[in-house]
This record gives sequence, C-alpha cells and structure tokens, in this order.
Amino acid sequence: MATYADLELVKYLCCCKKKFSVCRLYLCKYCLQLRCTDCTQHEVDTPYCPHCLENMPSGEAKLKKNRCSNCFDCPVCGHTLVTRSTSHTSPSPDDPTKTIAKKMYYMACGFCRWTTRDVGLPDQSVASGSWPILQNPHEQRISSLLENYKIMAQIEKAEHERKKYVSRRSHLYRQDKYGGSAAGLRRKGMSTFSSMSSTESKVPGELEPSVTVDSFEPLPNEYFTEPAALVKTTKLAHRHSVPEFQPTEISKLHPIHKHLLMRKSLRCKECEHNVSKADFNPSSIKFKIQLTAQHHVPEIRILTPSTFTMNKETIVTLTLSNPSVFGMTVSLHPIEDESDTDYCSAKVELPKKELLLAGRDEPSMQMYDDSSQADEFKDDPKVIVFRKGNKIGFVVKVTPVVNEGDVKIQFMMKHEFRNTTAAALQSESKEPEIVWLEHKVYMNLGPIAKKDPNVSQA
Amino acid sequence: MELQDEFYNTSQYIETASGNKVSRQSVLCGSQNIVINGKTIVMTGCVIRGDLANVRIGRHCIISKNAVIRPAFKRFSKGVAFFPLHIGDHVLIEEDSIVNAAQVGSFVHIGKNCVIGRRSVLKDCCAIADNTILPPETVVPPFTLCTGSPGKITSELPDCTQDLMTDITVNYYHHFRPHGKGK
Amino acid sequence: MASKKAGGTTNPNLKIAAGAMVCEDCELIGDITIGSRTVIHPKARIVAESGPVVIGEYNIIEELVTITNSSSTESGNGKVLIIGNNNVFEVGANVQAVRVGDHNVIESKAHVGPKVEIGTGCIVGAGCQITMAEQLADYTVIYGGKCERRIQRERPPAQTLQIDFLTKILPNYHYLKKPNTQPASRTAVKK
Repeated sequence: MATYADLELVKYLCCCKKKFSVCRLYLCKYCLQLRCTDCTQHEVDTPYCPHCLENMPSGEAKLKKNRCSNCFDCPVCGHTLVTRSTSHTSPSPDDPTKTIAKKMYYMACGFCRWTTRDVGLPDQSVASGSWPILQNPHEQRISSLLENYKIMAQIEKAEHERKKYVSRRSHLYRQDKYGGSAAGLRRKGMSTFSSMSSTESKVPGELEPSVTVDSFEPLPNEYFTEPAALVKTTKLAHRHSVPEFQPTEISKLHPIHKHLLMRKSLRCKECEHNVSKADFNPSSIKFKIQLTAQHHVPEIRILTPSTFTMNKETIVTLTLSNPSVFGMTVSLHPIEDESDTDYCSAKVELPKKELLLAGRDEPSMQMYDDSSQADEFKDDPKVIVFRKGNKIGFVVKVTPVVNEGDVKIQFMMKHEFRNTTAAALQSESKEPEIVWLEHKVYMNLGPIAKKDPNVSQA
Repeated sequence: MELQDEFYNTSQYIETASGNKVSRQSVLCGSQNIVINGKTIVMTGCVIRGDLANVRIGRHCIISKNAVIRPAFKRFSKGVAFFPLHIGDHVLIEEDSIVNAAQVGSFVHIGKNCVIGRRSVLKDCCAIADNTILPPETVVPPFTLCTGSPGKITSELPDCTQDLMTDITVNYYHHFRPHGKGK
Repeated sequence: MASKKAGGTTNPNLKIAAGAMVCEDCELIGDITIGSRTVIHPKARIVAESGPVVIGEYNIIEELVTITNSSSTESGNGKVLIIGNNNVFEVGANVQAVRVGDHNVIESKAHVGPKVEIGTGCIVGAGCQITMAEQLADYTVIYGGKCERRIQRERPPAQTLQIDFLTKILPNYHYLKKPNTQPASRTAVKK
C-alpha cells in the first residue's frame, strides 16, 4: 500500500545510485551523504516477539531458534493462537461423591477455529509454558554434525592463527565460520592457543557419512485404491512451516512457536556512525538516533496533477517544504550530464533565482494564517505562487519531448544544511557550520495525454 | 503529490468548538460515551458504537465514509463485557473499514475495506493495507505493515512514519473545506 | 446526537415476538417475523420483498448487515427464508441464503450468495464470499483470502450472555420497535 499522499512520485538519488522517496532515506551527518537501507549496515539490536512484545536477549533468541517460547501460531492458517480456559470436573480423590472443578487450558485459533484438541493434544493445567516440545527425529545427527563443524572451525582457526596471528581482523571473521562457536572460542588471542592442545586431539572424521539411498519402498497400495482425502492432507505451506517434521496429515500438526522480529539499528558503512537506532522497548516509537532525510532535506512535491501534451510547455506547480527550524536557501539546477535516460522525457525550465524558505515553526503549523510573508521575502510572484509557513509553491515549465508514457524530469537540488555535529561545532567557534548539499531529484509528473482529442483527459 | 482539496456541504457537517467535523449522516450511538478530542473528521455513513462501551478518539483523526468503530466484547464466565476503545492521534481510517479493536495507537493508517478483529491491538506507527482481515486479538507492533487474510506482517514502514502520518492528517483537515452555505 | 426515531410508515407485516430487541433505526421491508430474544442492532437491513423472512430466537444481527430473501425475482412469489436460532450476523455481513440453520456465525463483510444453504454450526469467515449453489456441511469453517475450508469439532458457543448484556443496554440508548406477538409462536419458527 502506498501511503495516502503518493510519495513514490518524487525520488532522490542515494549515494549508492538507487532512487528512493525522501522518507526512506537517511542523511549521514558525518559524511553529509544520503544513505538508504541498502547501503547501510544493519545490526540486530533486540529480537522481540511481535505478539507479546517482549524483548529477548540475542543469545537467548539464538538458543531458542529465534522463536518466542510463550506465543504460538496456528499451524493451519498461521494466525496467533489464544489460550482458552475451561473448567474440568473430576471426582475428588478423597471423597468420590464430590467433584472438584479444575481449570484446564487449551489453545484455539480465532481465525480458522483450529484447536489443540483437534489433534488430540491434552489440555494443560497451567496457562502457558507447559506445551510438549516435539523432538526432532534427526536431532542427534544434526548435533553431531554441528559438533564436528565446530571442531573443524577451531582447528582451521588455530592453523590460520599460527600462520599469521598479527592480522586480527580477518581472524575475527573466520572465527564465526560455522556459526555456533562456543563462548570460549570468542575470546581472542592466546586463550585459544592454550585450549588448542585439547581440541586437536579430537580429530574429525569419526563422523559417519550420510548413506546414499538408491531404492525406495514402493508406494503403499492404498495410495492407488483409496480416494484422496484432501481434508486430511496438509498443504505445502503447512509442511514448509515445520521443516523438521513436514507432517503429511492434518492430525499431526502442532502449534508453532512464533517467530521473533527484531529492532535493528542502521550504521553508515563509510564512517560507522549510526544513522538510525530505535528505542529498546519494542512498543515504543521513539529513536535514540534518527537521521532520516525527511528531517534535514527539503521535500519537493507536486501540487496538483496537470495534463501534458508533447512539445507543449506546461506550467507545473511544485511545493518545497523546509524541515528544519532555521531558514533555508535552496537552488535548483539542471543536471548537465544526464546519465539516466529514463528520467528525461521532458525539458524543464527551473527557477533561476534561489528559493528562500522560512523555518519550520511547530505551533504556527496548526494555524492557517495567510499573513503576507510574500513581502517579507520579496518573492517574485511569477515564480513563487504561494508561501505558507515553511512551505512554498513554485512553478517550473515542463515541455514533454516524447509522445507517450509518463512525464519524468530530473534536476539537481542544492540546499543549505546546518551541520550541528560535535566535530563541526568545535572547529567553528560554536556557530554551526553551514554547508551546501546537493541531491539529484527525479520526478514523475504523470502521463502524457494521447494525441487523439477524444481522450485528451488523462 | 500534495493532497487535493475536498469539499463538503456545510449543511451536511457539524463543526464543534474543538474543530471536529462530524457528518450529520453518521450514526453516533450513545454519543455521551464518545469523546472526540478535536480536529477529527467523521464522514458520512460512519457508525460509532458508543452505546456498547466508551469510545475515545484522539486529535486529527480521519474516519472515512462508512467506517464502523465498534468496541469489542469478551466473554467471561459470568457474562460479557464490552471493552472501551481508544484511538490515538493522527489516525487515518479509510472507507468501509470495520474497527473492532481494543486499542489503536497514534499515527496508524488503516486502509480501505479492512476488518480489524475483536480486541486487536494496533500499536503506534503501524499500517493495515487495503482489504486486510485482521483476526481477533491480533497485535500489530510499531513500524509494521499488515496485509492479507489473515493479516500478517509483510513489510516495514519507514522510520519517519510519525511525521508522514502527522503531515497527512493535518493536511487532510486543512484540505477538507466547506462548500457553500447551509440551507 | 442520540439515535433518531426512524419515523416512516409502520410495516403491517412485521411480527416481533416479545423479548426481542429490534432497534427502531433499522430497515425492515416486507413480511418479517422476528423470534424472541433476537437482537437487531441499528442500521441493519432485512429485505423480504420476494418472500417472507422468518428469524428464530437468540440471534444477533449487527449493524450494516443485509439479509435478503432472493428466492424469486418476482416480488412476493418466493419461498420463505428461515433463519434458525442462535446465529450471529456480524457487522456488514450480506446474506441471501436459501436457509440458515442454528448456531452459525456469519462474520464481518462475509457474503453468502442466494443459492447457499447453511446448516448448523458453520462459520463464514470475515470477508469470505460463497456464491455457488451448495449446501454447507455442518460445522464447516470458511476462512482466509482463498475461502479455505475445514470442519471444526464443536459448534461456535451460543451468545446468550451477549444477548443478555445487549438486552440490558440497548434500551438505554435506542428506540425499539414494539413487540406485537407472544413468544408462544415458537412452533412457527421450527422448520
């Protein structure tokens, strides 16, 4: 779903040459470059359960295979199961004439109405945490393989260290080659050398190799004689959701532990500063660090849709809003070396003068005053159509050069940016340094009207 | 694209002192139990069931045409209770959606023709795509988008969702303009 | 803005049993019989133009629900649409069925086509559409975007407690249509 105001029409070029709308971009204050989610480093801050919204430490999450221990998904439709209670009466052990009511719990899906009773799971006496865990039939084999690879990784690492133990960086990567390296392994340097003697005695190879299967049992006869019971058979999605068991019958489906989501932080790959770091609490919408471009880069939007005809100059009104609390000067320039042929289906005449934007003033945003700011800024009414707080409307003249498709234009936007990073503040006697930033902007203004006069309405 | 002006007939809408614009063709049952905090638009054909339980709607919300806001019930061993329904600020609910939630946070966007199941909890800054069916008791964490039937988390929302939703709802209110004088 | 009196002409063919809660602000067209303890929320719509609609006891019909007797294209010529007991029609459901048995739930925005017969204990999930001519097996659950089906073990629980609550609370906020028959007509409801 696109957001309500179609934000995909105007895109900014990220430093990695991909185009994104401004809300998806970040501005690294240190490199003064736009960054997108593709050219930043993603780091897991905290895994959390999307249902109970509880944090889980990364180590524990890894141990629990990134699943919540208390929340379950329905194996049939995938919706979260809810615990229901029933009172169960049983004869009292002391006095057979009396009965005692006991609360029993089972899980049910509110969407497809599947219940744990459907597959014969007995009701539990406590609300959560006591559901039986299925044993993976291949667990032993998997753990022996894992163990073996761990030893291999250890040996490999030790050998590598012996060769060149000066380069620490590459060894850090190598350490993690087969994942679950033990905590002791994580310690750097000499400690692993000391433990090496003991590990080296365990030479891999004791592992028995997998057996090749060259013949299958023939299919049982009832596969050919009995009608297929589709109601009782699982679907592919059901089997894939539990890869370790892959049940073929509906009656063998078990509740699935809910997958965790994660809160992540983004780090600029160049300078390694964080550009986004969310709050620890999964239900909070606050950020510890957030350098979204929306807060620093002026946003351009199209005011109203217009109709275009080939080789006919059309005046398009764009709006420009200043996200910062300070005034800002913006200038627009054509891109000299038009590299992106997709975005030059029209010639565009940009305002030649610099555009002055007032700062964003939160309290007055709510009001609707048309106070004549125009005088204050000495606007040229031919260029600036309106001015409302931190937003202006300005005109550009667009002449499509192709006869069909969308009118797409591109230009360079230069704007002031007050650099308030600590480094910049120290160098310039506490006065924030003002730098000019340049961004390439790509816009899709809408389709070109067909030549046919009958369908001039786009 | 900037939001376009949308005109309404002044005779069709009541504007309250706090700036709420409520259509005369909406059905507010048990209006004494409905609190709308201000600058919220309730459009034609909406049904808000304040008679079942308290309904509180924050500032700068938009309840589009034919949406239904209905507190959800829960069965207990000794009867049923309808849960009060709280909707935060800057929430946009599009046409024909049915909201049976227990709580809708702030900066939430619910698309067209959705069903939000009983006692669902929509946290701040989440979104529900058009035609989504959210089963009962679903929890939607912040910065996620739910789609499909049953609604599942399919993608992430940008970090600046809060700003985007504020911008949309505030602008919508400004562009929702009276047209002509009442009879 | 309290619920306004719908005014309008009274429907001479409307039969409401004592104990039923029928909000004034709903649209009831044609020959309709409503059983005892049935709750009809405001803004519901029941159209019995092509034939009568008989609704049993302990049903809940929520707002924006449309129940239409579409057994015949000619008005007044069709068969009776009988809706049994303990059914729930959730907000915005659209039902045109041939017959609805007992203990069914038609969830929000579900659509039941004119040639469908619903038995006992069925659930038509939110947003699901059934349009083919068929007879739903008892305890069928239809759910999801692809209208998948399964059979549940138990029928959905009766909503007697919710009806009790609504019976208490609705008269405080809404004008109600007056019952005009005694619940003794129970036999008429049974098929």
